[in-house]
Amino acid sequence: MIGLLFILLFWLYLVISKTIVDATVEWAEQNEKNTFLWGSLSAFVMFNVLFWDLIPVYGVHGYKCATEGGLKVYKTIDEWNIENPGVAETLDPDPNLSQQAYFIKYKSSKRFFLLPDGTELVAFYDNNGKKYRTTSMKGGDGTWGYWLNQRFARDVVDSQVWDIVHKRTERIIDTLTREVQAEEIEFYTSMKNPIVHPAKQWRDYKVWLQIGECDHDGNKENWLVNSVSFSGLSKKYKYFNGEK
Amino acid sequence: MLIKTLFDQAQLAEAAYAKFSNITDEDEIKNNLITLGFSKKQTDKFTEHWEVISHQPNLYSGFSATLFKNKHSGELVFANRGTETTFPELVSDVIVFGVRSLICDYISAKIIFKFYDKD
Repeated sequence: MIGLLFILLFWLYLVISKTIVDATVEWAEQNEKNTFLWGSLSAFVMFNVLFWDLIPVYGVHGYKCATEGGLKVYKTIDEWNIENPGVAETLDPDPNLSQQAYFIKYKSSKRFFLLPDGTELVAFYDNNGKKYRTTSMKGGDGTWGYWLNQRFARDVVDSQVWDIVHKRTERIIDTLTREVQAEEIEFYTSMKNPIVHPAKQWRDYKVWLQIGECDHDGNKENWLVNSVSFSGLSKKYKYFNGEK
Repeated sequence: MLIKTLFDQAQLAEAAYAKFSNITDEDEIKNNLITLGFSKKQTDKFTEHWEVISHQPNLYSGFSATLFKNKHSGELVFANRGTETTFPELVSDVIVFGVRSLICDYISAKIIFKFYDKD
């Protein structure tokens, strides 16, 4: 429904803009001035009253996606396996089965753990704690992400690029050596749905500035390595010995 | 209607706007919801109760929908995404809006249910 409301408002804005441009052209005609120049100038001003940030935001986002966005694999799983023989068989995504994760407490379907470096883990289970699902991770330095197993973590770092354009870097890290196995860089805008997230300023209503991600479909070669996405790769690291 | 039901439906309606790039990876689902504007705590709570059974990403007609399943009651919820508000999509929705898109949406909605056949 919000779409219909915006379509209505766009039409209203278009009608007002057209009236102003027509009036400017008429004024230029009466005063023997260049009608094309004055008409174009008033149209440009009217466009920018509402859409001044449209081109810069889309421009920066598109440029960043094209130059920095995408998936990079620094070390394949096979290469890691060769360097670490016999380790893969011991890895399990459930921190409950890990010796390094210290159990703190449980609350409904969640279990809380602490790693020796102070990282907090929250493991989620289904079926009254019988089926393991996923583990969120929160580092002491404010970093967050997902614990994949005893050797791997998927960490997420968000940073501002320009104005409302943000960068999200996700990495699969070998937690023992701190080596980055793979990295995906994504760009998005921090504009949210004003109906769900109350608008704090009138600009928050500019829903057309919402960009969730870079164009993955148009640049598949940037986002897939051997036909596998970052998410697919992360899952492979998480379930080294198959999903239970 | 119970406030809890309204709350669930509002969350599902919002979650329908997420682009679920890999519905078999819960970490990715959580990331997709966070990108959408869900808080981390809200995402944890949401995925505690709901799982994504099927997701139809954006079609040419501007249609997208997600089939959610309540993990505790087994209830299925089919959530249609509303108008996508990125500038190109907003323009395309206005242009394509019409009988053709409605027919496409109806066919797409039928396809999404094929992914979940109870029988």
